[in-house]
Amino acid sequence: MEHEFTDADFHQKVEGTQGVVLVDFWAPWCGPCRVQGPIVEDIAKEFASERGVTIGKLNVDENPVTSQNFQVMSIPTIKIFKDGQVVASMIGLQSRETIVRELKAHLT
Amino acid sequence: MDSHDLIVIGGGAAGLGAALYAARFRLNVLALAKEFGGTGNIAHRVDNWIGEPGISGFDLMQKFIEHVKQYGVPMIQEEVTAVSKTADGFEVAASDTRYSTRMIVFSNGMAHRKLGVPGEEEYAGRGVHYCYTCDGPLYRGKRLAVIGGSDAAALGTMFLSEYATKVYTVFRRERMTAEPVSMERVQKLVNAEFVPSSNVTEVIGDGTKVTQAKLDTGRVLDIDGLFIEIGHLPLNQLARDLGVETDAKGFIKVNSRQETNVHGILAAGDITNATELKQFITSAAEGSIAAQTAYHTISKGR
Repeated sequence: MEHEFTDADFHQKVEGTQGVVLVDFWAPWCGPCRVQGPIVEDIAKEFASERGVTIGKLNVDENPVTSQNFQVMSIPTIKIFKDGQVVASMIGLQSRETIVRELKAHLT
Repeated sequence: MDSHDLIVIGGGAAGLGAALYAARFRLNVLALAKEFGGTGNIAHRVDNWIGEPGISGFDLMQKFIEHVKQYGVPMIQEEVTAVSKTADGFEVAASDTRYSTRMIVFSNGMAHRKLGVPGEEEYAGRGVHYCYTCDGPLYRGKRLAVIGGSDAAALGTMFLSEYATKVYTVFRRERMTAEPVSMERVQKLVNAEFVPSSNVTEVIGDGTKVTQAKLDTGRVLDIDGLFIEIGHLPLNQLARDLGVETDAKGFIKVNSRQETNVHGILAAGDITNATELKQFITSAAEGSIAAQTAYHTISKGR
């Protein structure tokens, strides 16, 4: 199941989490984000039973603090965190294969 | 390997138009695209698709996609990496799959043209942007520049003026070449300023974000971001590798049946030289004509 992160819980649920967390920064007005969304949701389902992986999204409109902190100036942006640190950042629409490849690369 | 009558490369208005008509002609058609909806997805407000005034590009493309799906056309989101000639058609290579087909429609559109100045690459996605509907709203309360004098630049200026405190529109001619209806609207904006007869020579930043744009007139604009709208380049490489002819600007040469100089290869939409009017309606029309040509060509060969 895909999580929905907010400014309020980002620190705890992403930065303070051991393991791998993938965050899809998006907004409803962004066309490519609405193409990216279902792809990420699908990946979240695929990894649902995998331990140590959390997949979720953050609405940049409703959560400007986190977006500013991580200098998200172009969306969709996908960031992968490992043990609270950013280990990968992808700007622009990404294919399912690319995201899964990146994700798996950090699942060791 | 699955064999198809027709593979449509590209998922915008042209590709979806071709896929729909091909399905109606009962061709065994496959649609491959990096992004279904294509450039249409990022159009803010489409006011020239007749019958759907004011619809967003994304919503319009969703309707196209749904319509094509109703015809059962397989639509695979994959980027095509190469196309090669075979004895009786073509082989299309995507990320990790290969497909064979008798005919092809190239409808993979165009990519944004870049300025080619120092700082542009460095700050791409961090102040240098090519999609105002995607990234513009992230600049609420900031100062921006739109680079370009076309209708797209005027639309970008209008869109961004709703978020930014100030928008400079920088263009190389004395006047913009936008459509009259766009010019009327953009001239009414209180926070937009035209900067004519100017070219950006450098994008300057502080290492993490953009701070200024330097112009060839000597003027320096203090800005937080710039949106580049200086036109597009046809994505013709796959076609050229097969010997498909293009015009001086790189658009694929087609006849009134959307045929290229290579037998079995058709092209439709923004990628062709069929019309200078690059719109949803012209793209969809070219796609449908291409499908009809494919149908006639394949029927004759059977």
